[in-house]
Amino acid sequence: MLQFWKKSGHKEKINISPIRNDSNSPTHSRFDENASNIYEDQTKNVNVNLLEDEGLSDTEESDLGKDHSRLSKTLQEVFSDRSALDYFVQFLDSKDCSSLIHCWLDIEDFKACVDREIRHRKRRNGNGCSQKFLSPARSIKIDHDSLSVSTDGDSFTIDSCSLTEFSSLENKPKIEEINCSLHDENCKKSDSKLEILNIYNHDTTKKDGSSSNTDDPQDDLTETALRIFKKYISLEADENINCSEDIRKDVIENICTTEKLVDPDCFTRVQNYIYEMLDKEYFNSFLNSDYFCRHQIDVLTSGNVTLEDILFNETALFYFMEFLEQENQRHLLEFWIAASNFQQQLRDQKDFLDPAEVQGDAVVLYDKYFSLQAHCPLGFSDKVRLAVEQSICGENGVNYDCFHLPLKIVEKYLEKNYFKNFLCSQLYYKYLSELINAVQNSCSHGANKHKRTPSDCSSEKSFSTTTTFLAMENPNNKWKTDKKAADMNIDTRQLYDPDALWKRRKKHRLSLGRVNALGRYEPDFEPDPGKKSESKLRNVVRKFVNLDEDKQKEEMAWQVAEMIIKDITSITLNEQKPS
Amino acid sequence: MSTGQYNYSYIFKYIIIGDMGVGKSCLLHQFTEKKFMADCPHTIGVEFGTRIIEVAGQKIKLQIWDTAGQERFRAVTRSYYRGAAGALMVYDITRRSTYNHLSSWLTDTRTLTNPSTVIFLIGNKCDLEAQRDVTYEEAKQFADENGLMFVEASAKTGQNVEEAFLETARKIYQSIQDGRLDLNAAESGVQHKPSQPGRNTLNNDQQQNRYNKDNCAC
Repeated sequence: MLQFWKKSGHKEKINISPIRNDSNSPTHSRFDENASNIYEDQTKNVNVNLLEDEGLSDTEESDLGKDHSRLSKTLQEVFSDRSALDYFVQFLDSKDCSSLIHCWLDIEDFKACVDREIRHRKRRNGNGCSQKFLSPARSIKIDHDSLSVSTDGDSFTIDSCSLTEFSSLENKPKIEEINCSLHDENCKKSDSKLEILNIYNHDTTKKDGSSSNTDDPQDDLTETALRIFKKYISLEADENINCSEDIRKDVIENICTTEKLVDPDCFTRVQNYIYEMLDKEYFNSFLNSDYFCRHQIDVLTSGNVTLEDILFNETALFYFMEFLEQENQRHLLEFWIAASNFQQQLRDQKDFLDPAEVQGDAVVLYDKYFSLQAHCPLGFSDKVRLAVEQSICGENGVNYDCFHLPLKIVEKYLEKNYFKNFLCSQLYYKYLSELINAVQNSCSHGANKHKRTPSDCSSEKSFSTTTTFLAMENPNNKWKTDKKAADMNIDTRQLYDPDALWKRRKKHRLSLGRVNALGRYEPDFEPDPGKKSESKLRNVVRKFVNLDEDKQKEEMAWQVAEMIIKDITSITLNEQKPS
Repeated sequence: MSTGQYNYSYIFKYIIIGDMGVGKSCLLHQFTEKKFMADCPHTIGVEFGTRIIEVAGQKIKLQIWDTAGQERFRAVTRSYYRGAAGALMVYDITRRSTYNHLSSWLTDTRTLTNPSTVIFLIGNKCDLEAQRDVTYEEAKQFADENGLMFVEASAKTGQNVEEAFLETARKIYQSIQDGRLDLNAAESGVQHKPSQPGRNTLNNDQQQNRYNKDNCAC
């Protein structure tokens, strides 16, 4: 905890450096412009020097920081990252090659059991006679752990450890309670014949004395090892990993030693074989698969994306480079890439370095970015430049960390000024949407292959993310809608096309008539011609007669005519109904 | 110029690979700055150049990653191969060893990039005819046998430099139109969005709207 606090404290101090360096450029230009302010500039330089000295020591502390991205995985990193490992297991399941990874995981669990047993043995030896009464209980507990861990995952291992510790505490108070615990445990473990046999053996052993207790855990470990062997390694194994006969014999010898002690490293050659197989034949395919895309989406949407995640992943770096291009800061990232490649090369080839060659490389970078005649100056302070010069052309030759300080300054500057904007930028959303599209396309194409529940959950999550993202862009939303069923297309078109709404109604002929332009109801039957002529006559008459008295007469006449028409219409309807 | 850099429909990522001293950085400089850089220092890791071109009426921005040719940087530069839509593989026509190493560079490219990556073979320094060490016919045959596009160019005179970069872009664009650039997209028949994962990006909303609108007519 203290180290963590100390580390974070240093990081806070480092954040000051970019600000100072950023403001130093105008200071430098002021010095050029106004020589009379030498005293003032010297004061500022003193402040800068103090901060940079502090920063220099702090950046050395920050060497503990990671130089890799969670978006770029080596096989070892996948094994260490539970989230990535889950996707890797699913990927191998889809290739029907899960026996390799299952065998690896079982061996890891076995090694964990062996390590615990070794620790317990040391504790018993250290405590002497007082442990004898506790030995049987702990032995039984270990047996249980061994059997359970072999069939379940690491999460159960953690529970087993907790249970063991709790049981240890519980067993300390009284001998009578210990006896009761033993009795209870005997009852609980009666589910399995194997466990019953173990209990009987322990009873027999207890009668003979405690000297042979140390062999019992070994017997169970041997049994676990044999189970792994029969499941994965033997010729008739259910999940055969197809290792060579040489490895198989080696494993047999280590399990069945004359001393009847299981060799903790009996499966090392098997694990090396599995690692090599996975790394050569399956890992690259995994990196190109939609399972890894989903892992990347999980990282990118976790809200915890760091600058390292972007800088050390070449695809994300492609988008970040484009973003900085738009911000006119591309040269900073160019320098970071060149200098970090320089350092990486030194690390990779430490044993084969030619000092003159290394110095030549360093001078190329210095001339381009740091020198007073630099082709692409970055605006570092004189203090930083002098430090770099000293590192390159010092008395002891090139310091292989000569660009470490400017690299850290650039990282902090980018993180402080541009990284958050990048995570909110259109380019970042494009990057994310392309990963999501890749997963979506693969899911729709191979939907039948995803049979496991976790896979379905992942698909749902991806879809949810897609929906959330697409809500921001209407055009995309429209096209996404088009991918759905045809009915949805019709609905969509109706929303955008008023003519469709009108045309649809036209197709239905449920009405017996229509309302004409004058607002009068017109049935679609024989009286139509007569009504039309009446309508025309009425219009003609109205044009030439303006007296109120005449209008009243016309209205009365119209009402009479309407009554006559209604009578005729009703008669007509009654006549037509029978037919 | 600053305005122009925001006005494009696609971004294509290129890598330039080949032995040291064949002229990779000079080719890049000739293409982006249209002039020859005689005193070119050797590249440390990766350097970077951009330029906007036009293909079939579409403005395309090329993001060009110029890698170091020295063997000691090879492990580092491999990490930048992934996601490249185009790979320019360069040799020096006056030095046979640089031509003989092309098989190794090609193997790296095939292994580390997508199958749809367009690979263009460039024989640089064709202005030094008197010192020629590799015939055009021999290199052309190598290119044909491996399915590569091929041209001889000169970073000094500028001959065919433009052509190499533009032809690569045209072929990539054609792959996008044919739906061959991304197997997932091709299999699912998704053609509405021209961007492909990890390689190209559609950066202009207005352009995107127009594209979608055009599809409505279809």
